[in-house]
Amino acid sequence: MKKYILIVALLATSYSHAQELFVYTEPASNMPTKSIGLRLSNTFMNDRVDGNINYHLLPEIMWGVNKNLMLHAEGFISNRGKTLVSEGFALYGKYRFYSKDEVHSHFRLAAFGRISTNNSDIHQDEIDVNAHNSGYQAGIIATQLLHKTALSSSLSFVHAMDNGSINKFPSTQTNKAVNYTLSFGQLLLPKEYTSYNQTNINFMVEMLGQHLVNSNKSYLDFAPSLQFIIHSQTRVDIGYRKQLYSTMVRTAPDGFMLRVEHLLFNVFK
Amino acid sequence: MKNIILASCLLIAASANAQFKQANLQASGLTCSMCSKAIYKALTAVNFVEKVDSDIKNSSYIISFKQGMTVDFDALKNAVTNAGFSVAQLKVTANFSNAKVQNDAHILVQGKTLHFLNTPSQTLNGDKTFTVVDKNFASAKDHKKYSQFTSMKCYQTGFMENCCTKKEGTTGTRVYHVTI
Repeated sequence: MKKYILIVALLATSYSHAQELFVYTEPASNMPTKSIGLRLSNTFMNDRVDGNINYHLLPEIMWGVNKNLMLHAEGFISNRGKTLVSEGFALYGKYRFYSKDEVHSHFRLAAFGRISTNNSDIHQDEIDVNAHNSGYQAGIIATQLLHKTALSSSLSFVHAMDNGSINKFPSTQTNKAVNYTLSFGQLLLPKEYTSYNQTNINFMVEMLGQHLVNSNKSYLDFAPSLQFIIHSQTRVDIGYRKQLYSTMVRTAPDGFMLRVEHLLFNVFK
Repeated sequence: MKNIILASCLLIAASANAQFKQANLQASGLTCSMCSKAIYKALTAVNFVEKVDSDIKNSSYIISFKQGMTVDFDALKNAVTNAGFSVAQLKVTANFSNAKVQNDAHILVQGKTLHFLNTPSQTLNGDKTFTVVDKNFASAKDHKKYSQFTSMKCYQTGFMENCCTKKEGTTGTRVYHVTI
């Protein structure tokens, strides 16, 4: 544990450039107004129970409504039921309510909310309304971008509900949780920005935690990732999420994520 | 109708002859190239913008204007803020012809009311570059710095106020505060 904290501390202080487009979390900044983002996230998680790979596919469309508001709609598809089936969808909104911009730096605050429906079986203590549970999530994000470091943190409340009429939320489990995240980002390449056609390579390190309300159950994950930005318009993210500790039942906490995202500018006039 | 034509003629006569040619805009709040491209795309979509050249490293954009089109500084600022960022500095280059400038006074340039601050009285000829120091066009620090050079309320509101000299517009006219 100490080793990981040391690594994160080193990352926070030694990097010479920063990037704020995090992989496992959302920054407080929004998409450009009138633009549309298309995102396809794939997760390949190692199932500790049967040794299989749990594959989740999350197609997502994002809309920059205005400079402060962005909306997402996403679908949940997974092979946990042995065949690839659609399990539900979610709506996500983020409102940026504070900005302090300087050249090459900013401090921003945003509030966000997600409401999701999911019909899959409930098989773990962990609450995840972004692919596993029906319910809602609400929280705030703070992002500080400095000349050398980007740091983002979020705090949110999650409330899980029944997964449809068949998969009721187990009465023996806690259905409320607090999520907390801490993210760092760094630009590896290019050394000098001269053109939008240069491929950018970013390195991210994120800490993702959850505590179930009124219980002693919690987990903390460590998620390093590499991000490639092509033509300043298409993102390819490759990440690995690794559980550092957990006192709750989790079916498949460790695994890879592969995401492709494309931004369409000025779609609406 | 005649009165309107007469008023228009007087307005044109009072307006200094100048052509806005280009602007150098520096944006703030970003480092990533995707963010920079969002601003670039927003600026190129503005109707009077001919061309945008980006200096990604410095978050700066050289914006060339289409000839004969009305240039709106607010539209440039809105393009940047709608992309999710802020304007740190806006420098505008215009080709002036015999434009008489006085310190802390309004002047009509191409139908736009400019209020020169901390600028010695002079007659502008040829290509000259001025910096817009209004709120949301400059850093908060720079905007505050230039507030000492005028007591007119228009500096805070960006619009012609009752206290302003009305020669170059009526109450409510957009006023851009600039310095050379």
